[in-house]
Amino acid sequence: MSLIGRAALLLAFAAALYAVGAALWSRRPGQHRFLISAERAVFCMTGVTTVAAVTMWTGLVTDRFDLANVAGYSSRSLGWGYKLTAMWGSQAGSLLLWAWLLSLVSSLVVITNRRRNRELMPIVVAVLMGVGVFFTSVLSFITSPFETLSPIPLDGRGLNPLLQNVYMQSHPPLLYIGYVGLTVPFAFAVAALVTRRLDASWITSVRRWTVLSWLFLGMGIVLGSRWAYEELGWGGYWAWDPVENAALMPWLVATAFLHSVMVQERRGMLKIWNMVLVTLTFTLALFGTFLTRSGILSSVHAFGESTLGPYFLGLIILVLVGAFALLITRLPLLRSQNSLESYVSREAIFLYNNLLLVGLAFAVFWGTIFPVLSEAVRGDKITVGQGFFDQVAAPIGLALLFFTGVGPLVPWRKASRRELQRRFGAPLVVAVIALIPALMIASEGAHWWAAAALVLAAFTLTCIAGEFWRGMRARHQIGEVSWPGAFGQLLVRHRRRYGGYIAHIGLVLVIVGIACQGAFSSQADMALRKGQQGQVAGYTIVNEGGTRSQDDHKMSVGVALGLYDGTSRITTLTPGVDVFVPQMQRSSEVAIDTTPFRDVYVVLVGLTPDGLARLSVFVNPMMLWIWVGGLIVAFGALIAVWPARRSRAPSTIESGANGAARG
Amino acid sequence: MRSRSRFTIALILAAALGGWLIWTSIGGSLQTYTSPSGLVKSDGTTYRLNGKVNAGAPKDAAERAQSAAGLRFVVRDKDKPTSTVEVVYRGSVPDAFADDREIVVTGHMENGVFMADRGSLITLCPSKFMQKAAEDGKTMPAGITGPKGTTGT
Repeated sequence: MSLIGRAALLLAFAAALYAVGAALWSRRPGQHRFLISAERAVFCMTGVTTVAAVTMWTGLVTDRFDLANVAGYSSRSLGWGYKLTAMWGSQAGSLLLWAWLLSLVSSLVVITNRRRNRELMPIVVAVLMGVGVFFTSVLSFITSPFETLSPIPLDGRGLNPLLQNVYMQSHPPLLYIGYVGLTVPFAFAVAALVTRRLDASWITSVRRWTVLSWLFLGMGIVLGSRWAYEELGWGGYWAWDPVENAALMPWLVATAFLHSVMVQERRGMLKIWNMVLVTLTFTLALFGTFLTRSGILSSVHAFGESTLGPYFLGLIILVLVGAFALLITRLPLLRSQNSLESYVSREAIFLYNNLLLVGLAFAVFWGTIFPVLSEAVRGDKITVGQGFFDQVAAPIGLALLFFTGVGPLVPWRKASRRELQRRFGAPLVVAVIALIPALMIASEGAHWWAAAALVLAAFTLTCIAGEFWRGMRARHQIGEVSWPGAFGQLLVRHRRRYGGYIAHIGLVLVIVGIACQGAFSSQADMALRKGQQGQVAGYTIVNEGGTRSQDDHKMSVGVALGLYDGTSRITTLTPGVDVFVPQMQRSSEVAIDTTPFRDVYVVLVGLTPDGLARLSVFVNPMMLWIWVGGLIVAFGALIAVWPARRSRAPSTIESGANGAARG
Repeated sequence: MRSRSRFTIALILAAALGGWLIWTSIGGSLQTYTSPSGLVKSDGTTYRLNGKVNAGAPKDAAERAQSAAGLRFVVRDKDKPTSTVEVVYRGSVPDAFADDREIVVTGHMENGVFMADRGSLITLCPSKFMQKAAEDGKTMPAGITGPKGTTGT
């Protein structure tokens, strides 16, 4: 079994290497047929990488403990669902997942570009497969997922209980799809630079790839936060840990890219900037892996001692130097077709939004690598506390929230004063009205950031609602369609625009959730005997008795708690602690009662034999909206990229891009 | 856009503002990352103390950390096991807290005792997980999916 896997990976390496060579060779005059050959090599690489992945999965499901990765991360008693996902519990397994996803993505790119972008494809294939060569060589020669053990253990060590969770099953692959997907825009950007075809066509070709990768990356981040919230039992969801930052940085820069490409499509500006952004996005995706693999930063995440750091650093430097050298030689071709006419125009606001997003990404980067820099420069390791990130992210986040509302309402090129007054009248009135309760809330505990976030959220939501209203009214009046019909038509006919607005609504809700949880959450520790009660934030918690159970797998304790709002009973919460026997590994099972307005979150810290339950109770306001907002962002993004029907005229940008995804 | 120079000035201003924001924010949140042997100043310097939990840490650590007296345990230097410091901690205790576990905790020195900030205790998984796991039979994942430790609120 190990042999099959290793052979498949070696073949994948060879196929990828051949694809790079053939693709580059096909650019020579008269050698065009080699492009077809390179593309077939891509399919071949996908085939053998799939064999390797399936082999790994087969090994996991059939308990082949002769494989180190099976013995280390799975066990007989593990459910088959977790056996499958144990693949990305190990370092080599997660790299295999990466290589496999990359091969799938590369094949999709080849299939969808059979008749389009033919002059770009040699370089696109070379870049994609170049990255493929890197991963398959690492998997073949440095850290093989098919290492064998001898003697063969009778049972595996099992998957860490913390990872036995549906969010942990789904969040790493989503992040990886995002990372891998971001390779595609980078490959097209390099191809455009090399072939000097620097109009906006490469951007429209990869727009869907960019949005979908961004979407998967974002979902990966949200589900990872949800996992931290449910599983780790400290009442929070985000700690500015280096690994969290590593996923956030490419997401921020990709968000900037999504917006700035519109300026290039529409006005022929920001061409160099877009090249820089797409390169940065891809490098940050690699940097994330480097951070987690190199061991240069102490993270609370567990990572194996790894020798991969230098390889990833080498690849990052190669990508950065190569891309920027290429960019510099092509600078004369990237001149803007237009210049900024006004500081109050759509393109100007996209520029502000870009500066803010990239600035935030830079601040996060700076805070993340600060310990490394300070150790190199001064000799002692100075780390940056969470306070730094909060302080920087709050004002930048608020400014972004403001521009989220303003941007779509400001016309391209130049805004007339009257137009602005008409569009911003209602949002300003709403913001002023919202100011009064917000100030009242804020003055109690000096939560000025949260108050500002709430006011801006009201402003931005009104701005977006105004856009929907104007669009629907126009359709209702001209087309004589019903109001719901007009709404549907907006979504169907202008997917990109209104899908984007829906994503904005989701983002506003996420920010509301973050601000409220950050400012207004309350926490209390209590020690309750059976029948005793404790208070937190107006809620009463009554200990209704503990339970204990034990089997040969784990010892469990739990406690039944009555949750009361005043005198009315809301629900029973049953937090618990499992202790898994072989390693005495503790795993807290938190209990959460969720309503749209707040979460009551209870951790059982301990239960003494005489029935004293020690609890940590958190009341997190508006917590639900972080997750719901995330879903709405995803929904909006899906609408924005959903392919239109094929019958539409192929000349418009809209259907041109549809073709990009469908081929 | 009337002139290129105006645009450049605006950009420089924006960059300066961003730089100022980063500079002021970073000033207040610096923590010296150190091991027990590096804890020297008791002048209120904030340290992030990294080390291993000495044998004999309370089994009911989570409960103690909630009591008024707090959780007391001894952290030893990873490289110089003779160098130790006593830590007093209150707040949530990660599930993985146990003897010989590597931890990071934030706080300051007071009368020779490390007074930890509330809820700042983090456990790290053994970095050389394969050898470590073979030694003591503990399992730690080493993937990108590795567990986040718990951090304070």
